[in-house]
Amino acid sequence: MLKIILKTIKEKRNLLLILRSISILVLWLYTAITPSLESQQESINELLAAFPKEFLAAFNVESFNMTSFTGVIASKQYDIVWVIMAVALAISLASGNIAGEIEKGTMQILLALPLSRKQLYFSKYIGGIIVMAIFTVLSILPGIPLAQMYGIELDNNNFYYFTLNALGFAIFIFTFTFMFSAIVSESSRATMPALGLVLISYILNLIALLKEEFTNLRYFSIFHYYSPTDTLVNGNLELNSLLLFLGFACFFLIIGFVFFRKRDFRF
Amino acid sequence: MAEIEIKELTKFYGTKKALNSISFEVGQGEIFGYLGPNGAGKTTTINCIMDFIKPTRGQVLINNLDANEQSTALKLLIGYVSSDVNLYEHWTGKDHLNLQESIRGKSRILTRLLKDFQFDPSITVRKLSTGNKQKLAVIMALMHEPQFLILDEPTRGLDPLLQNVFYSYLREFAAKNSTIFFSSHNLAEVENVCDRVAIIKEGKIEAVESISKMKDKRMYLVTISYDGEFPKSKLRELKAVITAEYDHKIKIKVPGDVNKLLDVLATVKLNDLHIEQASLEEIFLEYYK
Repeated sequence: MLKIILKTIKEKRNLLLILRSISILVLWLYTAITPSLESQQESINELLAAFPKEFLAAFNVESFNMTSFTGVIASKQYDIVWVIMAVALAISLASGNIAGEIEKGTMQILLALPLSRKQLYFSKYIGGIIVMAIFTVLSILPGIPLAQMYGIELDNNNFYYFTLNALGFAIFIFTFTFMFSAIVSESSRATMPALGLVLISYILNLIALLKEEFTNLRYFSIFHYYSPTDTLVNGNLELNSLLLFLGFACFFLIIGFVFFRKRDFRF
Repeated sequence: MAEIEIKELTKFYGTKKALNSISFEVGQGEIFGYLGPNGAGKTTTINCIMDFIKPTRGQVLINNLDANEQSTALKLLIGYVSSDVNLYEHWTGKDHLNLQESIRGKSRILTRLLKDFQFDPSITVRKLSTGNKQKLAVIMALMHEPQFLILDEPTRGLDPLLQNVFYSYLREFAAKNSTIFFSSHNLAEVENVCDRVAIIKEGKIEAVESISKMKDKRMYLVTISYDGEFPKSKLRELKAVITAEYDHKIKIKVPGDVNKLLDVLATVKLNDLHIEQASLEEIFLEYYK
């Protein structure tokens, strides 16, 4: 089982290294420009006052996230860049993990080994979760030493809370795609539902922010429960969001396993 | 005693019946051929044996264990070669062999296999030729001296010399009481290696026969170019069928022993002679209509 877990990690090590490096470099960029943004707080506030409130809300633009370190990285790095990278990694990893191996025919090698389908399924899942955890931790926590390097004061706990929230989000997307990967036989067919979910969530969140009468739609969006601003800036643990992510992940994991255990593998 | 028992195995893909209640047994130490044209159900049978697919009805018993319910325990005893060899392109041969050893334990015959099959395991799979990929798949199946070998057209892509090396391993394993299930659509190969053969067509077992009986069902396609007269009346005695006839050239289909035909041809002045073994499909058309 360990061999399959290690195989999964080893196969994504290059992608993991690239995404992690990009994330740290972008984080470094925002850290480096934060002191100059802080010194221009007044003029930025004047500029923002000229925009309609709904417009600023839709794009998550507020004074604190234009001038404070945690505000800048929450709104620029972790609300956009990190989400794109995490979603790309989770979907490519999960869809390739089972459906991709069926498509290439290499699943035959694994199925011919004296391993039960349960061992195979959960080894692949654990391997994927480890990759997602490594990516999440190594793309968020370096913010602490970087901030110290530039003499920026912050509460380390906020970073730990956000890491948990982000990990929950990453696990949710990974497990959702993994479930489809266990059901279908082509990686593209496992990718589509996950991309659809992300897109629909984004649109629902946007509508909820723009139109007050549709504000409750935000509860149907995964982005409502992924909140870099609440955790990094306000220091909220967001335990409910974490439990929701993990609860749904367990549900997807079980559904995927039920199909994987019974399904036919045609080569 | 039967080591592999296939009992009324049925498999539907949607409404299409891929296997239609097939049953047969394979004994200990037997090399059992499984013949059929493409799409007959050979790979579906093997996929059921390997628990890659779940049968709609029926059962596969190997070593008295249910291949569906106890597949993990069974796979410890099985070496498997697929009809389409798919390997990890970015891995070396050694990575593949290490994966097997990490789960099945250290192989006692790996060095000998690498030498006999002239395989260099340090090369990345994407740089290997089709034949070398097949060698790796065969080595992976044989390296743990399994009690059962399930082989789906295992010699595809191997050159004739290495095919012979492979056959000698099969005979060696069978002599040590390994049971070998060998699917092929190459009649000559099955005749050469197997003890008995099952013939499958459109998902149904048409016959289970010994190789000696199968040999009676051989058929040759002969093209003869000649001068003078050709004794066509003697062809009828051989049950040969003329399939085409031109000016001093004749094409015939001859069942059974080719020596009788050669006796006839000895009386004819030949310009050219071409004899080939009929394909399995042609034999099927003749015997299993």
